[in-house]
Amino acid sequence: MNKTDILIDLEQSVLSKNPDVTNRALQAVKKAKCPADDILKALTKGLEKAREGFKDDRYSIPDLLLAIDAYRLGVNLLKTYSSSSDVQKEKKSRLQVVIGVVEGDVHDMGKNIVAAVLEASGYCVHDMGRNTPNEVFLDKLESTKADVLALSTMMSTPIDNMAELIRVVKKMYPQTVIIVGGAPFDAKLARQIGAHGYAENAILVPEETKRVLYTPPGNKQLYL
Amino acid sequence: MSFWRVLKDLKQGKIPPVGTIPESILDFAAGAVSFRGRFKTLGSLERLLTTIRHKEPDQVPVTPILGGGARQISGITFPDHSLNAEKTAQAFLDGWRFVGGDLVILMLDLSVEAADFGQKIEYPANSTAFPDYDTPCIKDVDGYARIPSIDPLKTPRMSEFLRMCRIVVKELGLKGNACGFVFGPLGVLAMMRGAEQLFKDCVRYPEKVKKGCEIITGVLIEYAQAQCDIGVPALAIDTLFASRNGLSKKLWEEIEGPFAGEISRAVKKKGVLFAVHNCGHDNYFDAQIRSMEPDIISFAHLPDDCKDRKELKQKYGDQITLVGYVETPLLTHGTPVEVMDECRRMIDDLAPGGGFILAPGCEYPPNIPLTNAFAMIKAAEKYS
Repeated sequence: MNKTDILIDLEQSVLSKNPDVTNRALQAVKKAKCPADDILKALTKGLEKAREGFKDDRYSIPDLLLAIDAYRLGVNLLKTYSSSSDVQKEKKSRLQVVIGVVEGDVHDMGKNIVAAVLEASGYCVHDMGRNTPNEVFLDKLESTKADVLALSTMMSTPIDNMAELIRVVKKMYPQTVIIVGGAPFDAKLARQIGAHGYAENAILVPEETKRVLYTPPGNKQLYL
Repeated sequence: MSFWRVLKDLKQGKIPPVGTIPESILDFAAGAVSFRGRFKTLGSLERLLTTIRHKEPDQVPVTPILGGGARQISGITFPDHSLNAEKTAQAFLDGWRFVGGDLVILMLDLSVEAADFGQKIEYPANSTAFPDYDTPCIKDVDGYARIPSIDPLKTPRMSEFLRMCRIVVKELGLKGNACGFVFGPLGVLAMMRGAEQLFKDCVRYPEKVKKGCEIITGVLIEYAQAQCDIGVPALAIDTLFASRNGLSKKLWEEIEGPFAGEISRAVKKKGVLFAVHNCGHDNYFDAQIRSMEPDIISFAHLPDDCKDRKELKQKYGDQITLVGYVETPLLTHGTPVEVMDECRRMIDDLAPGGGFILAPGCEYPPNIPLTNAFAMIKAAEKYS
């Protein structure tokens, strides 16, 4: 098999729902000495296909989760290709996203999907986990000067706390755009608590992030 | 059930299990009550009977699904609402007396069953209880087979729920209707394994997950039947994962469907109305009807095979009673006028011919003011 076929195999393996298949495909690209950029492209294409599949109803959430696992297997392999200082340098050159589930909620599946698809879309994602206190988000924003803050909750009870965090972030880090998501939201509620962006589901976040990032400053409010 | 048994139950202030009454008698009674409703205000029991027989009552039955929200009236804490039968019962009853409604859905938090199976639960002071996902009690795929079979009459939270249920049913008597509640087997497993891991296991190790479902279902049947014996006229199962938020339709029908069906049959055997609650997006009405043949479906979003409310009513309105579906965000940010407008639109589309109960799509948000719960009650009175 030539390198192109091996990379196509890797892309397909992301959709295989089987880590053994992905591992075999990764061994093959390693053996064929495929360039790291090409490997990342194949993995990203595979995950993008899964995301598209979810959008048009061919894939379910479990399929997408398994595709994310496969993508991450590949990304972990890539880490062995470069020195850690190169990786850090490359990461810093990307747009920075701080993401997490706010304090009071532990449902993080949606957030995990968003983190993976944003990473595959080229962002450097700092995942703060679930049930995350506001101070932890603020510390990370301070150290990363992040371009995007993505907040999630599946419960309605943490919304007041989330609104407070957004208020502080807008004051302290006006350059950071804020996107929210989760079951209790619609665009109106997201706008009411001060978010710049809202995605109805995890899959639509890359488009919404792009929209908000490239809307001129001062005009970043949510349209209903 | 004999006519005399029905009379005896009614005399004792108990709602007789409607499933044991011959259909012809139920239809006759519903028709007569519907006719009476044109001239008189009906009671909640009459309203519910009429609408589930697909006849029009005096006004659309309504429930604000006040779970944690009712705490605000009684002044009890979230942990007490989860753990203390007397206080929880008081909150449900206070909610019913203070805000109103025809149906009291006994929806607590979703951790009741998982807690008794050994999952560590957090009980925060200002939010609904949730599992400690850092320590899932099912740690690997072989853990499904190791779930202990437990006696829900003896375990702390399920037995406390049953005690609460008994207090509420007794207090409501014939003046209101209580609806029991169980979390479906996959929901319980998600609390014990973490939803993300469970979903992946469903694809990769379906047989192992089914083993877990089998053990959980045995316990849920006993738990559900105990609620039926207490005297709830209806019981709801939460099958959230039968939606785009969960598994594919095919996988759900393979894994949870058969077990949910077993629970449904056990509840119906007691003559109790069987309801499905599913607040997921694009939920699979067709698959759930095939598996469970429910009398009632409570939903938060249109099912995957209906593009609007009219199609929903046309497709499913004559088979089941629809319960819903004022969306959570609207209750959170909307004004009472906006909520009432939305209720009016729902009543216009879904109430004609009966078979509709106005309700939120899910539990009324526990921390927001109750103004919009009142708006829903008002809308049912005004626009029916």
